[in-house]
Amino acid sequence: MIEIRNVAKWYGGVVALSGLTATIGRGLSSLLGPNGAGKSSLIRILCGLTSPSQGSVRVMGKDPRTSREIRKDIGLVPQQERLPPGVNALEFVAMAASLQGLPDPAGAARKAIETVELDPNDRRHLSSYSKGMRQRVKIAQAIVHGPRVLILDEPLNGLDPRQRSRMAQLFIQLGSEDRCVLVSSHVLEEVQELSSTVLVLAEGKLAAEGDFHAIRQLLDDRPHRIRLRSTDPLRLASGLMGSGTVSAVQTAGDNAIVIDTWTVSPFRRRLPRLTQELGVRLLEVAPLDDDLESVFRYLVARRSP
Amino acid sequence: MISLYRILLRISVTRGRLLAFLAGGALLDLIAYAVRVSDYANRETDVYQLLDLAALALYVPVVALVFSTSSLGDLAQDGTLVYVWLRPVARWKVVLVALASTLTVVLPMTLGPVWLAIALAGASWQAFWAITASTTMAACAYTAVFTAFGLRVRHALIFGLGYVLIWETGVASLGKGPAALSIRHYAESLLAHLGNQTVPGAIEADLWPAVIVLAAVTLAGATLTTILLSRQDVA
Repeated sequence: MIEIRNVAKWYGGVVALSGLTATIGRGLSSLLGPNGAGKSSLIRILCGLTSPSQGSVRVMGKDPRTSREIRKDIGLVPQQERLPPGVNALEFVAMAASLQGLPDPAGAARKAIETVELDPNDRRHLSSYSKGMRQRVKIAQAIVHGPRVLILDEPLNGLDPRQRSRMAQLFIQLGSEDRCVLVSSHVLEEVQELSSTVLVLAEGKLAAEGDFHAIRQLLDDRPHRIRLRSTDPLRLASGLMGSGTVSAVQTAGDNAIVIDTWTVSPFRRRLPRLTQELGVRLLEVAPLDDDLESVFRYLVARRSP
Repeated sequence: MISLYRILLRISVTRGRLLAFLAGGALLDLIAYAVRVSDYANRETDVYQLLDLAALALYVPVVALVFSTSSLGDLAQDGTLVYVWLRPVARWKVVLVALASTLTVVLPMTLGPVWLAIALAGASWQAFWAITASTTMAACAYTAVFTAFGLRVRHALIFGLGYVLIWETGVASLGKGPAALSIRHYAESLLAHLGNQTVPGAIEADLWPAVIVLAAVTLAGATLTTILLSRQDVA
């Protein structure tokens, strides 16, 4: 339903996207990447809100920047929180329904607002809503016309765990209804909850794509760097080198060593037994590169020729 | 489109703006009354001069500037334009709705004080019709131009005020050349011709060229806004 061909986007000298090619079909897909990876730029291009600097995008075979027709089939939850002041949820969602050309805008708006578990009779202005409620109003205006392509930019931001889970279920349900649903996130656990096809974006490039389990495997299957502090670091270093679970060891001062391992799970299983055998007391185990951004950086470097 | 009209209207009309312009309008009326009591014999000429200098050169463009730049311009600045832009509606219709909602505020806000000024100064019916026509046409032209300006320029209000104060009230009075590039010049010409009265200090154009230019500026402003909206990079 969405075809992205060699898309690049730059703002002055800053490259937001670079040579991105991908196809997104029916069902639920996730766009995963750290902040600044280019997710929002890609989403803006997919909705026609801006033109790509290079390459092309087709949504259901049409150019979203120039085709008015395709806007009947696109729903977007933008990332920015701001909503028009001085209006309530029903008025705002009814405006969306009316501009989409629906025959009964108020009725459609009520239904969409109820779908996101808000009260359509709530006459308070949107400015008095909590962040989570505003987020759900944004989702309501995006689904009010039953779009065939639904794009949601960080839609779970600001929701409490219960709402997050309910909205995730809603996205899964929408994705199962013969439409393309694309959800962006920088949180791995959110994507895990959606159990979808995942596109990993990092530094403006497609770092990986596949189902969630394949991506999870990729994220684990990489060199890990771990700092170990113990009562006898040299004895521990020598024992670890002999165990075959580490590829490099270096001392780091303060009774600490830093090890590199490609087999993080076997290493974790072996470590407690080994320290017991060596009579060494382990004081601290600290992963040095487990933040998502370093994982994404690794994936980009791995994919580059 | 009615719902969009209502929402745009609600966004642009704030209590602060209304109070500020009601105060401005009241000041204009106070001066008009002062004209009547101070110089009764020449009041008709004095009223025309007042309407030209205070209403057409300052009050009308400033009111139009504030409400026009805030309609589509504010939406573009705060990122809420996306909720209008990403709908299958022709851009010219969105622009038309934006202009209609702005004029719904601008016309009463400008015509009200001007009519009251005419009444307080004890001016003629001819002056009433002349100022009604010139204010309406000037308001439409300023609204169209400033709506485009608000969509394209950051801090449009500040730059627009600079334009009104420096160009429309200042430079445009210096000679025929700059006057030809001023909306106020055509509006005051309309006022003078329809009122059959010389406006002191005004550089007059003929009646029909003034009408045609004001209408053309309105159309050009609306067209430019449509083009800018179509090409807009939406946040």
